[in-house]
Amino acid sequence: MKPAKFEYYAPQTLQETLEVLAFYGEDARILAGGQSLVPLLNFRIMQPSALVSINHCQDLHHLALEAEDIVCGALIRQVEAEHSAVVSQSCPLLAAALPWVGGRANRNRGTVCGSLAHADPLAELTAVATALDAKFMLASVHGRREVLPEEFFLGELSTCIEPGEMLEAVRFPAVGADATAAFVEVGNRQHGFAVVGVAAQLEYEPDGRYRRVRLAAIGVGSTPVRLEVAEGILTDTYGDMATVKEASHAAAIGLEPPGGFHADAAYRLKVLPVLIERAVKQAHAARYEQKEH
Amino acid sequence: MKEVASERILRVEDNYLLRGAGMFVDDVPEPPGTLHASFVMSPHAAARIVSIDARAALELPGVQAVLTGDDLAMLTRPMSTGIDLPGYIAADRDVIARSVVRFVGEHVAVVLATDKYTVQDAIELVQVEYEVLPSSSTLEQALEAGAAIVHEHVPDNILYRGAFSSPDFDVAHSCSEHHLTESFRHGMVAGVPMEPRGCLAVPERGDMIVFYTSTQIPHIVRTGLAEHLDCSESRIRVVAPDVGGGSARKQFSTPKR
Amino acid sequence: MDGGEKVWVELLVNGTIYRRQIEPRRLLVDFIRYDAGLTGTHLGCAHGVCGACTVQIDGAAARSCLHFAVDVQNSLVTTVEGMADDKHVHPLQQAFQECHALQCGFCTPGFLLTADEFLRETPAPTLEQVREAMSNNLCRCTGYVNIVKAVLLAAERIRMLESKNT
Repeated sequence: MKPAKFEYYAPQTLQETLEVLAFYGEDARILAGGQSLVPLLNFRIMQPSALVSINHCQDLHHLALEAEDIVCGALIRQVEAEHSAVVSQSCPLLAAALPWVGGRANRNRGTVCGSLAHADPLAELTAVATALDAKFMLASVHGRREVLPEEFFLGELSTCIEPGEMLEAVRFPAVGADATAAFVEVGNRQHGFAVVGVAAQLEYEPDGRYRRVRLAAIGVGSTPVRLEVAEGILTDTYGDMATVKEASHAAAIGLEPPGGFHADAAYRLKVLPVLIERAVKQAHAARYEQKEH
Repeated sequence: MKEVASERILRVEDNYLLRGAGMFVDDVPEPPGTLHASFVMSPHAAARIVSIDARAALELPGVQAVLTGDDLAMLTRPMSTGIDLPGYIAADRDVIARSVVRFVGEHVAVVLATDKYTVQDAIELVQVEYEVLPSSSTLEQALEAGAAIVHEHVPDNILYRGAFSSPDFDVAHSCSEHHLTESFRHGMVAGVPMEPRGCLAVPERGDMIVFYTSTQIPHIVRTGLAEHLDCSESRIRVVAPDVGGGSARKQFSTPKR
Repeated sequence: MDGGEKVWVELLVNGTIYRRQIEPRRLLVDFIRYDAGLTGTHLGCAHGVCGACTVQIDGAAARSCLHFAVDVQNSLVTTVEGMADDKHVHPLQQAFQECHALQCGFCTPGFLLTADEFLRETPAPTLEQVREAMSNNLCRCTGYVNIVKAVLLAAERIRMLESKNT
């Protein structure tokens, strides 16, 4: 229950960080919040030669609206994003999902980018990134590249981050003030792992018609699943009950969720439409609560 | 004398527990030279232990000893399932497995080192060669004809067979309209107290031992230790410090301890 | 494996500086318990789930089993021993005792540090908010009911103290 030995680095700049990563290649891991990584180290499931702590790297601590995106640097803690006015105004889905990401002690230290880079198939933020077509900014000493969720998430705990590379920041598309969102999940405990979770964000025409619908789920695949069929059914509608139900049930067709310790595939397929319905209704209701104020 | 019945009385131990001044077994001050023990465990459900090579582990600075089942057999008696139930076949278990392992996780060696981190480094360096054997890992497997035998003296793998019936069952049975026959299974139930189990053994006055352990049964622990070490109970003093929950899990003496 | 040799670190815990030579892999919980000798912080699961090891890093609740001591230099670490002195006990500690919010006491320090942060941020919480905030620490003895009562009682007392001071 104690980690194996490692060399420890605490670079002060992004450039230093990248140089250490280049030196160690796949033998180094980034240490940010450590909430996902350190349990693996404590159990010796992972034994990297070097740990590169970005906790002292102010270059990576930025969260701001830049043109059409909210840019979230690698050192932004989940709790910072949760309390950010920029996030609540311009990315309501991220704001809605964050309270579900573990308990307060985990969110105080865990980072937004860290959760994404770890790519646990049940991580709520992976559904958010997938639903929103977030852009993943990868950096190494050789330069930068930007990838989309379908290229980033390769499988359970697996991303396209190459040895020597790190996730420097994530860009979430900004939406207007009247967009609403919801995140719902079922799981053993409020702060435990999700069994299935659904992220929903709605953007509206002035008359309330759904101009754009973004939906994604965790727990129904080894990576987060974008629910495009359901999105298609709901777009350009007013979100009436029948359409929401139709979309929810259509979403499950063709999916082959993994079995798992907490729930089998059949359960996941059964629960998914229920959660989609709830998420859409909740997001929808939030618009009308907004309008009342 | 002050009347206390029906008064709300505050607990005396809360004062130090709330200040973080409790003394759970891992808080007991360790004398200089205290060694930390941890275990090499079998990854196999059934196997013969062919060889144990501890040379690399012993070379690690801070590692004092690696003891095998044979080493411990010279110091301890095996443990026995002491269940007093007619028809129950008792089975013995070496404190550390000697020639065969019977479940995943069974201890095959104990490593002693100067600190908790080194001892885990050393465990990874102990090389155990196993001859993997067929195993009976479920009830169904164990009951099949030709199943792998877990204990040699129990050739059908049945340690206990029991039955009961309610009085006048046959009468009630013949009078009922509906008869339900069913098999029920439930998993092994484990209490999980917040504080893990642990112990600290401190030699005292020559051949005496003070044994701190997170336990609900200090007297029984003493008796058990005396039996296994084949010595008089008067040589052993068991101290149960603050205990972080028992959930009945600390009512057993385990080979680990 | 080579590497990971001991380094000198200085940690500020409850207002005292502890200077020790440790390996980088030394967990914060182990530094606190063995290098600083503050055994009030307990190790339960060693993977961040149970909360018994909860301390505060710069006032924010954190699982000390998931941090390395070397990585939190330049921060103020607060443990349960920092919540009371010889004269004064924290209102939460007082309330926990009065409400019988502990039995074995193993999870208790983790709850105290968690609740302290929670009440600083949410001084007038609802019952539901308290239950939610306490739900990420595991307690197997009390069933949580008295813990929730204690937090609500402490909240009330802290608010009274603050209003007296202003």
